[in-house]
Amino acid sequence: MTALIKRHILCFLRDRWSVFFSFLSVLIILMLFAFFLGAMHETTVPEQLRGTNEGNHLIYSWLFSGVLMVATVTVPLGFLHFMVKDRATKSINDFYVTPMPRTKIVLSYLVASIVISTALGVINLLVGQGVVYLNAGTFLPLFSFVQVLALIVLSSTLFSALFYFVTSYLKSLNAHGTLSTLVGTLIGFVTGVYVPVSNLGTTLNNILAALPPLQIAGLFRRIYMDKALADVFGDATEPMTRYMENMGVDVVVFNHTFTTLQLLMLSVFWIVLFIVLSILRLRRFKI
Amino acid sequence: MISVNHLTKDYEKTRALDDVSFHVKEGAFFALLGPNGAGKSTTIEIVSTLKGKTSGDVKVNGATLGKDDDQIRKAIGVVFQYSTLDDDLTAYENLFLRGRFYTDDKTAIHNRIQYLQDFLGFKSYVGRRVKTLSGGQRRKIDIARALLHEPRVLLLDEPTTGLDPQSRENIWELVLELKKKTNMTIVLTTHYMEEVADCDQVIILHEGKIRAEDSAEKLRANYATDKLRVLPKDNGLENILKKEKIAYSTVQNTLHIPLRDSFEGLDYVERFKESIETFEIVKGTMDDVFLNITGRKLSDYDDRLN
Ligand SMILES: Nc1ncnc2c1ncn2[C@@H]1O[C@H](COP(=O)(O)OP(=O)(O)OP(=O)(O)O)[C@@H](O)[C@H]1O
Ligand SMILES: [Mg+2]
Repeated sequence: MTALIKRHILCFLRDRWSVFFSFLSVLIILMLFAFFLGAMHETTVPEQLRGTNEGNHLIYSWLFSGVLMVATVTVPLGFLHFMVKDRATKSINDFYVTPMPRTKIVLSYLVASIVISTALGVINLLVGQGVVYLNAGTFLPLFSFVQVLALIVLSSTLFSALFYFVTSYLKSLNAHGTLSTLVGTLIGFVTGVYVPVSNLGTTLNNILAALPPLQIAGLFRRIYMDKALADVFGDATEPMTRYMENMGVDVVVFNHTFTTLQLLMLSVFWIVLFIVLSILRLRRFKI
Repeated sequence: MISVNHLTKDYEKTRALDDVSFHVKEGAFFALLGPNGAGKSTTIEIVSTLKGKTSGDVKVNGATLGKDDDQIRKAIGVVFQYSTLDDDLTAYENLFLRGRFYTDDKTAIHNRIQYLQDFLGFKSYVGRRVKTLSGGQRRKIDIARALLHEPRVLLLDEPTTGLDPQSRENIWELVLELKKKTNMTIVLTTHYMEEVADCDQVIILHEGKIRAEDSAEKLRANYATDKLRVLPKDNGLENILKKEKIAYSTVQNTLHIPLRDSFEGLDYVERFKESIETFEIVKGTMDDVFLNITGRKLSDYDDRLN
């Protein structure tokens, strides 16, 4: 199966447009921030800390935790273009005609998706840390760094499983293209990266908080921003809570704020759910 | 080597194969001939374990389809009607990664590719990305892909369709060479009559049914008529033919007289030589075979040939 996974990943990386479009949402977020939203984010920092390293750390960790999370959504979806393509063009027959077990062939796409999303996520994290350092003169503490790495794997697995299930319904590359555009456009909103979640209204907020994207975004922010939050707000719990609720660090459903552990358990639930759904579906349709 | 018994395949609306039976001997060079939609690809895809059958049974190299599919998969190499190579990988990468589906011995795969590039002649472009190759070059890599694991049976679904005449000839020569130099059993499908003439066993498939099965030679003997083609000196010949009630047709300024056999032609030439400028006896072609068996010309179906 390693040869097959290698083949999928190589095909993806060689196709520059696929890689580019997988990161398009990330590029849009960064451009929006650089040209329009940067000033708005200044106002989220308590007045006396604006322009300081601590203040910048808060802004930039918020930005790059979001960027990191969004990439673990768009990369699996972009990668799975190749699964849809292999089926639509019947290239997959070239694998089915070998003695490799079908389940391995079918699962190779899921594994490759997790691997490529994790690998690009790590690069993404390192680049993000570089920018954070340039603006705030500080890195993530080692322990948080390791936790974020684990989160990248978790999130890559979740969204790979989710899109693996969804794309198994797609028969054409057009359908996949439409889905990618849709997801690429919405992801910035549903994770509260374009607009802070609190601005979206209570109903929408409750719905989004019950779904994986905002939950995972919350997890990333909690861990990635842990130090920045402590440095900026210190003991001032009330402003800190207000910030966390507004900026999607806390994920709140009907006044209940999920704890980190609860968010983690929810992620595992989603992963299991989508893998079970995929297996049920693939057993019936043989991909 | 391959035996197909009462094979039937239904899609939701169409019956693609209807009670098809045939046997391919070990080492045979076997052709499935038929127009678009005849069921050629369906046959190949069922035999190569890709598609389920509705009824009937199939054995390949002693293994039963549906039971020992993995044994069948090890025994066969398949060249699909459509190319399945990855555009953005080089020919070498395509072959190497696919070699790993059969074995973990990387040196063996490398050596096999070296051997194939000399045998099939693609050494000069083995390092190029497949999307930069011409149709004929790409087809060679498709064939190399099918030969990676030294299969006992090679299944080729329209190996030469869609290529320019030059590449078509090259690929066909390659197939003939494979036939000559290995003892692989080769099964191919084709639209082209002239390719069939080289095969030792031929099946004519039409709308999912087998319409004829024999050697190319015998099919021609049974279904293709020889004819006498003459350039007459004057109108006299036509009058004589009419009087003697000999069937003929005019094609431009020549007359075509269908023959029972070549000797009948000599007989006519002897009798009418005063009215004949020149003549030739034309052997029946595989095209006639198809015309006679199905009542239609093969080219009637074929958009791609024109
Ligand atoms: N997946 C499918 N679903 C429904 N019908 C199909 C499917 N594949 C093939 N058919 C039908 O089955 C019949 C045989 O098709 P097949 O592809 O085997 O023909 P073929 O001889 O290979 O033709 P061609 O020369 O065009 O490749 C056709 O009528 C075709 O429309
Ligand atoms: Mg076909």
